[in-house]
Amino acid sequence: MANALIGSHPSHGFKVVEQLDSNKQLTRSDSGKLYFVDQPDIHAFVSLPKLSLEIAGWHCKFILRSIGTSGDFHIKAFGDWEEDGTTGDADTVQILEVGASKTGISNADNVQFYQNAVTEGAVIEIMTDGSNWYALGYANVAGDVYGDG
Amino acid sequence: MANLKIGSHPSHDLEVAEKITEAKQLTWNDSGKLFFVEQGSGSYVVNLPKLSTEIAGWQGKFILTKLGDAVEINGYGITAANTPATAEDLEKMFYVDFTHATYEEDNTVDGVSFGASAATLGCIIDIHTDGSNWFVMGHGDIANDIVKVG
Repeated sequence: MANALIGSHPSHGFKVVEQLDSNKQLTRSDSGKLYFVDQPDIHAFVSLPKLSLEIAGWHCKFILRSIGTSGDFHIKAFGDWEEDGTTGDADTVQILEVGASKTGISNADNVQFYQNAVTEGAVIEIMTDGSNWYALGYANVAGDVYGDG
Repeated sequence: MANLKIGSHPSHDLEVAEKITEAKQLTWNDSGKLFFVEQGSGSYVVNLPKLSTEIAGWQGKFILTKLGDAVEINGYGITAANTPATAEDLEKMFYVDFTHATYEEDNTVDGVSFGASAATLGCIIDIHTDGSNWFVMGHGDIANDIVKVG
């Protein structure tokens, strides 16, 4: 093993802002976007791009803008499943949540603004080395940021 | 005193991803990189560039991706905590650590490390400089994920 360049990937540098309130497949060209999330009243699934070394460095930031009543807002690894996937990029999300339950979750399928979220302004940052996703969540209560699968 | 620009420094804007698995001297050109850090068998040191107002704005983000022995991210010329004692950039780091077990801050440290008993893949260290000091924020789960040096 040695120090090495993994790759590089163009970024919008947080100069592009989008809102999310329903299912969406993110792509390679979405790196560096700021996503403001309006949590819907039913579960929503935003899929990250398919992992590959060609997207090493892909990153983005999700900010919870409004709270729903009973829907999880999933930010999930690539794959044709809604929860607890076993194919595609399942088990590749490494989560660290700080602020509330303060916990790490290894090899998850998704990170979420959970249905019990109460804190507008909670943030999830996501980045990848091309092999795994690394998610850093800033929460106020345990339900703000959650992960499973 | 007055509000004023300190400087500016080119950045990769998190578009470049690098893997770190062994000792490394970072340079001015590394600002804005995502560094994915692998701990291994045996600790090692990553050194930050030499402080100067010419690098005001230099920044880097370090993410732990493999567990093992400690990896220190130290000021320039510091091979391990407080050694050598004449290193110019000793005690030039302002350190804030948010973890499950502890909240800790110290404004005279030599470096920051992913500790020898780190247990959390994905814990993160963000580093910035104004050219005179390093400002470090660590996000961990257990106390040993992020440990100050010196």
